[in-house]
Amino acid sequence: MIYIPHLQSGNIKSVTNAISHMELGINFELHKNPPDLTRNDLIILPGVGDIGNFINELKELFWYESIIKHYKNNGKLIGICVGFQSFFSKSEEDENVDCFDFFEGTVERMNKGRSPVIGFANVNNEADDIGEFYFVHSYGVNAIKNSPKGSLRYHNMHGEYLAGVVTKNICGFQFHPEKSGPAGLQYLKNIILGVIND
Amino acid sequence: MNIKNNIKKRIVGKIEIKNNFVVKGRRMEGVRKISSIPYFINKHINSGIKEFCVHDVVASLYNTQIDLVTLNQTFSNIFYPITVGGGIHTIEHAHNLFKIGAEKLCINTGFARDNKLINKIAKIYGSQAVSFALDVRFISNDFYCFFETARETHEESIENLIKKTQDAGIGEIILTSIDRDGTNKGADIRLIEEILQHTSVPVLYSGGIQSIQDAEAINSIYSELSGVCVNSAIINNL
Repeated sequence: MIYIPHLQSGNIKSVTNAISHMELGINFELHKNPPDLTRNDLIILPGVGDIGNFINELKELFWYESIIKHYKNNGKLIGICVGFQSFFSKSEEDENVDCFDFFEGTVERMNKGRSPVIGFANVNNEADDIGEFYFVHSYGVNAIKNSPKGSLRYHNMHGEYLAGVVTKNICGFQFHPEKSGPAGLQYLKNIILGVIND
Repeated sequence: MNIKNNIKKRIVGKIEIKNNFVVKGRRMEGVRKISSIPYFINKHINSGIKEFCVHDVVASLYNTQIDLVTLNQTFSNIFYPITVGGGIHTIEHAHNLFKIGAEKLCINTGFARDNKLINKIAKIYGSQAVSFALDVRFISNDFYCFFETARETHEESIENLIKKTQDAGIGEIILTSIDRDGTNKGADIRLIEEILQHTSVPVLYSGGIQSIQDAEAINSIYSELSGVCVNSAIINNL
């Protein structure tokens, strides 16, 4: 089963539209509060907006503890945009916020030019170009300073940044696969199936 | 210093609607009917366009709201970023649009009526979720900024309006030359240069673009420009 926290902040609808459309053959549910989770369940954590608001809402709805427990239980997680950023140790957007610390690294403000970064860009993993995806973000994880296993990278006018991290049971994306057209949907579908079937 | 940058220049399809139909005016006046929304969006996608701005051109003028049912259908079938504009005057309007899957909202008249509106939206949804529609006309040697479909003038100078909206938390400016809107006369170069000087957020230019090639040319001349909107360029080839 796939569970998505039903938050006010966040592009929940564009993610659920995308998942409905991709004919996964796996049910998904939106939940205001966390259900009982087993290791095989997948939590998808979409997010836009302020990371402080995002984490606070997760805490208020009791999802925050539930996500940590799920992670420690080797459960499956996918984060998108701010959801991805919340997996790192901390964020300059809100120094006092408790990020999940699943990946080492700091989310930094990108301030070497016009911000936010908006548009499509090619993304690479360690070996290949994996396609073109849509980015929109003012904060990011510098790929020179932080390079978790399974890193996806891309260059924008502020430097080289993480585009995502893909591991067996936990994945995150700075870009929006759900807004990157048919190729983005196919990519997200493959990731979800890969994580679920692990 | 030459920094490698893989972010592609944007070409955004601007979809102007009235009563759930695609329309097009000239200098923001006298709209004519063009086609249904899905047909028009598919024409864009076939031209390689991957980003959209859907704008209800009469909502602010008539104090109506963009139709959520129609938008919802569009969002359920188009998996590209879509900015929504027209008649967004309260935080409740904003909530409703994000709830159905809007990527970004575009504000102009809403800011003239409530100068806290941008700030309220940005605080919850982030700066990247609010654009300002800067509609500009050149009158006797100066630029003037308009709202309510080019019927009313903002009190502020162009510089002050940009400063105020950037301080309020916008993440982008969608700049439209009212003089060039719907004319096919090419971009207003002077306006682009003026606005790029005063802004720190990304700028999209709209007005007079003749073709996709024309959009690409403007994109390559102005390295600081985030992208260009097309509208008549697609209508010309329907």
